[in-house]
Amino acid sequence: MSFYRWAVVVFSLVFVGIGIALLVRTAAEGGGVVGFLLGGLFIALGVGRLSLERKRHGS
Amino acid sequence: MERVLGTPALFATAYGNVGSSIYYALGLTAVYALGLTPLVFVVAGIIFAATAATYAEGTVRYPEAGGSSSFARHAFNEIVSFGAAWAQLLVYVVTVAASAFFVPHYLSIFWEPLKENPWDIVGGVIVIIVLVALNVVGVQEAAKLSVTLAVLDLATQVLLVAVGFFLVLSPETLVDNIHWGVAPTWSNFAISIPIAMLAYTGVETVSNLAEEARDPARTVPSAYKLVAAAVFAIYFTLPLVALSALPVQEINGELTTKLALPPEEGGYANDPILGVVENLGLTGLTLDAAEIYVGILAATILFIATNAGVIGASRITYSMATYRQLPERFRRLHPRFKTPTLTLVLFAGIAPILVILPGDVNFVGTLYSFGATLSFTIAHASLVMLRATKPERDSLFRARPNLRLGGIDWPLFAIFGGLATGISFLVIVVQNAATRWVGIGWLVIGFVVYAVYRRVRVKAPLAETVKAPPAFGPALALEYRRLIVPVIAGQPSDDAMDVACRLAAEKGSRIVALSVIEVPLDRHLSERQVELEAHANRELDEAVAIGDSYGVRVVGRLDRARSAGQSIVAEAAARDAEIIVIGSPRQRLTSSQAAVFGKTVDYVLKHAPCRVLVTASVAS
Repeated sequence: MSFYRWAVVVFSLVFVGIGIALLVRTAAEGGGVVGFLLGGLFIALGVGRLSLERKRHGS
Repeated sequence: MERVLGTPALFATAYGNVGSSIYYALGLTAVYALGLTPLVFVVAGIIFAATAATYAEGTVRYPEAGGSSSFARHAFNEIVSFGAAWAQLLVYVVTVAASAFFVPHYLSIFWEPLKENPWDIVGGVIVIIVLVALNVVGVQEAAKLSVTLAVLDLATQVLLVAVGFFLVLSPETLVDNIHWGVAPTWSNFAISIPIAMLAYTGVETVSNLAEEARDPARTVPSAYKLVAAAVFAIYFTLPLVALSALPVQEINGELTTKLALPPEEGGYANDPILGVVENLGLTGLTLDAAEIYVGILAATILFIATNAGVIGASRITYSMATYRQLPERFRRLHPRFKTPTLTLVLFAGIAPILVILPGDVNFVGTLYSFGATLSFTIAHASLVMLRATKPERDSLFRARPNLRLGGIDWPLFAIFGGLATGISFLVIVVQNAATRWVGIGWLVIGFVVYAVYRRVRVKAPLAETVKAPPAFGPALALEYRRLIVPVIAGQPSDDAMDVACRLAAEKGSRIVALSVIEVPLDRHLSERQVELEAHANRELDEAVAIGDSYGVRVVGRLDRARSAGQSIVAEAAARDAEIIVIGSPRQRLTSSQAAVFGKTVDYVLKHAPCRVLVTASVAS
């Protein structure tokens, strides 16, 4: 796997991690639209980028 | 720097520069944006992404140092190119000033007074003097150390975000921080966006290294995409942690955050990342260790960023003198140290010291934005112009999104980026009097010197591109300093490399080993040809190894073209090469070799802009 693909996977996972952390933290504080929205968007970004990478390289 | 500049090295070097600016940009932006700081970084980040796309495409088109100045030369003319270069020089001057000024702030973990005037000014001036002196005597930068520190920096920032998310992040606090139109006021919100662009200092780094990159068509866009992703990961999240840890509250009757207050008022505007660490909720030994680690890492990274600014200032000035935009003396090398002493002292020493002497961090921030937004606007405008006037159906890389209209693929990212940076420039000019007059004064002085020099000394029209002859001293009259060697599998190519290395024996000479993949007309230039690329890379590695054995610096360059001859001639012209050394076999050629080398040597001999030396191998 090239450095570029490897880095894309790492960053995607970081985004998913950030999103999950945001959701957990928001839930722990009793909820809030901004936290849930940001968390969801970060997860969508990470998962979306990973899916794109998988589609492009067919693996 | 590692000998082969691929995506990892380009990314690490660029992030080393871009990532260093968070250590001062966070506080400077918070001064104006207060609770909207995270949103402002998102807006500036989107503008950064558009700018990175413009730089990626421009650099693949013209893989040469200069960034916006180079794009403007190809798109418009030499006057616009000068404007971009002069603005970029201001950016380097302020980068040196800002980075050096903040080194003492982070070292204040050892001695508190370093956080405030006058000791931070004294410390910053010492940093600048030391680095200028080191560069004058020509000490080589420990590039591997810089790359390692860049990786360490990114890892530390990710760790800070992770710890901050679990310990202090509070979406509710982030919402409560916002007081629309009050804190910040709309005018402060408007000015905070160009100031946040300070966080993206160093976007042009990849462009400046493109000449050294082996395969710019692939590595430059990849490096820019990764920098954008890293920036997204850190610059969109660290402010969330910072504003959760240091929320907007009423202090002395004003709604503000400690992130925006100077140290004398108990704030962290001068060392925002240390402020975040102190307010993460860590205690005891853990807090002490975290502060010392972050303080030392930040100071080291800022020191290296200052050095990058010093080198950038000297390089762009040299380039400007080469294109007769500045007097010849600015590219004259010191007879003993072989470094551009005048440039280093004036633009990397005296000018940055003058910028930090008032001791006003906000002035430094707005002055940076003045130069950067002007330079970025010219870069975007140049790309739009290039798409309209010099469309490349065969382009190796085309950034997206685009809109096809009237037969032209209009680059929406450049149009958006140009409008955003242009408006940001106007906001800075209108809203900040000190920056307005210093910035405009800088431009006026530059254009007056340019006009007088062009009219009186060069005697050439202002808009015409004029290149100065190579700066040779008498001792170098018969030496070659820039050589091109086309490489292909086989002994003739190795022999040519041997001959070139002997010619380049003079210290400082550089050989560009060029491997051209000829792409048939029925395939697109950017199409991947894995086997041919691997083969070309092996040949280039071998060329670099031959250079190593002679102690000569060899830069490998992989190009894709319809004709190898045209590519070699274009590379020689772009690099201002003095000689092309090309190997030709004596024995009967195989059909595939004849198809490349026979016509190639012939074409190069007819069209080369410099001397050509054809080396013939001993017949076997």
